[in-house]
Amino acid sequence: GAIMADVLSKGRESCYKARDAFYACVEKHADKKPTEIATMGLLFPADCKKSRAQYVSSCRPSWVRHFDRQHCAKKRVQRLLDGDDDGRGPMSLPQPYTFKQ
Amino acid sequence: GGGSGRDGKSQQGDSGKSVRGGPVSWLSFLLLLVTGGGIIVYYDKEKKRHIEELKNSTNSVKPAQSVGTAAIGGPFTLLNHDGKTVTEKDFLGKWTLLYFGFTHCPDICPDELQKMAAAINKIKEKAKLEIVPVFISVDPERDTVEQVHDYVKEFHQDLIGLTGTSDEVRKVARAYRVYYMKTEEEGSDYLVDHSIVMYVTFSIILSLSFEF
Repeated sequence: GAIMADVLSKGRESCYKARDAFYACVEKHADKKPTEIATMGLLFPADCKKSRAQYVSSCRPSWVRHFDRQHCAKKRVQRLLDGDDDGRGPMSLPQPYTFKQ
Repeated sequence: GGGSGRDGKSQQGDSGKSVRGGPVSWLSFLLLLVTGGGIIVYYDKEKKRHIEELKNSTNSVKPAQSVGTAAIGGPFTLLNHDGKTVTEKDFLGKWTLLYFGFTHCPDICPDELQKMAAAINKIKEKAKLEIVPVFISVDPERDTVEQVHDYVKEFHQDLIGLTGTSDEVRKVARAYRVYYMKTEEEGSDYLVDHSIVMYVTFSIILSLSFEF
């Protein structure tokens, strides 16, 4: 059968690069209101639309979802460890996006 | 007249009581003491015996209890990255490092395989020990021989990539206690959730010969 080259070394590298660029953009514009919807409940500011498009086109959708979920989990842990009052409390109930996508 | 009559009556009642005696006679009281004392002595003796027994049983050394041996691995028939049939017998007498994964894996499998390659290079260099690295696919649907071939070559020249039919993959995963399940399925784009374990194995066949 045809070889899926996007999962091979070169494809992975370009995907990781686009991914890191996008999350770096999200961090950079963290003070802005996140209005755009990604996957897995991730929101990002409109300033990162371009890098998001680049990211989505460089990685297969299942990978994007995987990394988005990873990012959200990382953020959640960070909030918890930073000890902000609003970040504390019981874990949130499963949201619709937990089941969809 | 009436008063004396009353006196006579009460005298009669007193004398009747003394004749009948109390509810507990001396004999029955003695019997109670003897049986009660006997029971207490007997109970005490039994208790001491039981304690002694427990002490003895904890002090004595018992043979170790075994719950069987770890049964990891088993026979399998898979295709290597050149399309040749490979079974567990091909790894007899060799140190092997086994990893289960899939080529469409976003980040964990490539990381693990890189670690694996680095580890076997280090061991070869320092201990002069040859270890065969093996990658077994848990995604037989998409991991064709060609796909696995191109994938494993990027990590290490000695890395052997194995794939096979769904049944064969299920069999080998069960034998090595590896769980795997498709997730986030959307047509042909999905991830496979799987156990991340690396096994170092060394298997031999024991053959016994008797000479008379």
